[in-house]
Amino acid sequence: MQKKLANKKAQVKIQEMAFVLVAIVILGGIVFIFFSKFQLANVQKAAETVKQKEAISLLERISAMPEIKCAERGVEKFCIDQDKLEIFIPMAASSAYIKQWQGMQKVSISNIWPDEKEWTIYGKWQGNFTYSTFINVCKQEFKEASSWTCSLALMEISYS
Amino acid sequence: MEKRGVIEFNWIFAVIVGAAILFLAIFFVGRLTGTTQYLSETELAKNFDILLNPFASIGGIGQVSLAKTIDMPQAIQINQTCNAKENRITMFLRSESSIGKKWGEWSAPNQIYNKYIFSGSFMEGKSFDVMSKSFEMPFRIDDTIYILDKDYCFVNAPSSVKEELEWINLTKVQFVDSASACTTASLKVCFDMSCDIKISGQCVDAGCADKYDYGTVQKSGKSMDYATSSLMYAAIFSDSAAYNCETSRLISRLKSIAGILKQKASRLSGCPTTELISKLSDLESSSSSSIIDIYKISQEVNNANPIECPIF
Repeated sequence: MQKKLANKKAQVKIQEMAFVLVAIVILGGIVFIFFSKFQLANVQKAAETVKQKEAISLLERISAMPEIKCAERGVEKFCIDQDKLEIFIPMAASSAYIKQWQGMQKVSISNIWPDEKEWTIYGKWQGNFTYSTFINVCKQEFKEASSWTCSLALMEISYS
Repeated sequence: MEKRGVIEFNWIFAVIVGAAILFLAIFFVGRLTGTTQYLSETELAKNFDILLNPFASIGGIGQVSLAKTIDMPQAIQINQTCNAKENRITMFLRSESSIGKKWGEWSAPNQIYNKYIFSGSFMEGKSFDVMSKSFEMPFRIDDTIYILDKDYCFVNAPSSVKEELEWINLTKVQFVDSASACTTASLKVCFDMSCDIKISGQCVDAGCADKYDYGTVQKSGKSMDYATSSLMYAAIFSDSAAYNCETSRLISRLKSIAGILKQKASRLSGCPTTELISKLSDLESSSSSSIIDIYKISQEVNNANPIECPIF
């Protein structure tokens, strides 16, 4: 009788310990889930920051690309050459250049004054976030001497 | 006796389960530390790439070189390989760790498509001199970026080289009149003399501004042809594998830009561009693997650029 009682007591104690351990494991699991979500949010934020920096630096790089930048006698002017831009656009999606756009959704230049015109360098759909900068788009003409006619434009880069 | 046996089993059970929980906790903390380190190294690699962005567009405002010393918070190792076929550089980075092993995990590969970086394939240090220069042949192609992790000693350098590199004030570059004045650890760069890196200028034609406009750089038993000072510095500051690959990438880009200029020349009505279009065609379709041959064609393109309506 005493032996049976002792065994029952021991079993109850073991069960108590088992329940405590199960509770600790469940608590640990809940803490782990919250921590993982927090870490994931941090990683997403870091990725977002990197993409922002890439978009801003890409604005600068595109306006300096020799494929579209104005140049005369080795001196580069601060403008986009309209002829070179129109020649370059069909090449922008080729394997030689596609990686330059680094995952951006759309890269475009829109003339805003004196006349309106849009050139889409890459992409079709506007992303959720857009960075832009004002630039000049100029066309070289030759009548007895070389001259440039310029218009004000907005270069935009968007990503999602 | 039986009571003692029951108590002992209880304790044994507690110890086994406790040990298992401790083991699992330590295991997961270890995995988490590894993941966090991988994440921070990958972020560092991406930020290093972004740090190089200003150097990649300096040519846009002229031919002037730009140089800056980049100091990292802790020592880093950079491993980079160039792939001419895929037109990219793959960069791995890791930093010194204060916990456990000396070096952390290598970062995720960072693929760089929009820069031309001339450096050793493996670099280590806390401070790097970064320099960039516009590469023009004869029109601007892009900016070449040089990353220096070692010290260089230029012996009897020509005045053009000395003036340019002294003006931008690189900390890892020293100019001396004789090789004996160089510090022991530095790599000696000599002009038409044998030493660690030997530059041999070969430009003696009428159109040459300087003997060193093109020539060869001999380094570590290998010979690299160069044309323009941009590629001369590239051959000095990088290893031959990186140099050949990056030069190949630059030549592809040069041909692409030549094609654009050729089409632009044909659009500009009234402007005498026939000869220029022909020379640009030669440049675009050149199958020569010699950078010096391509340079000579580019000089013909430059001479054919009409004065009254320059295309570039």
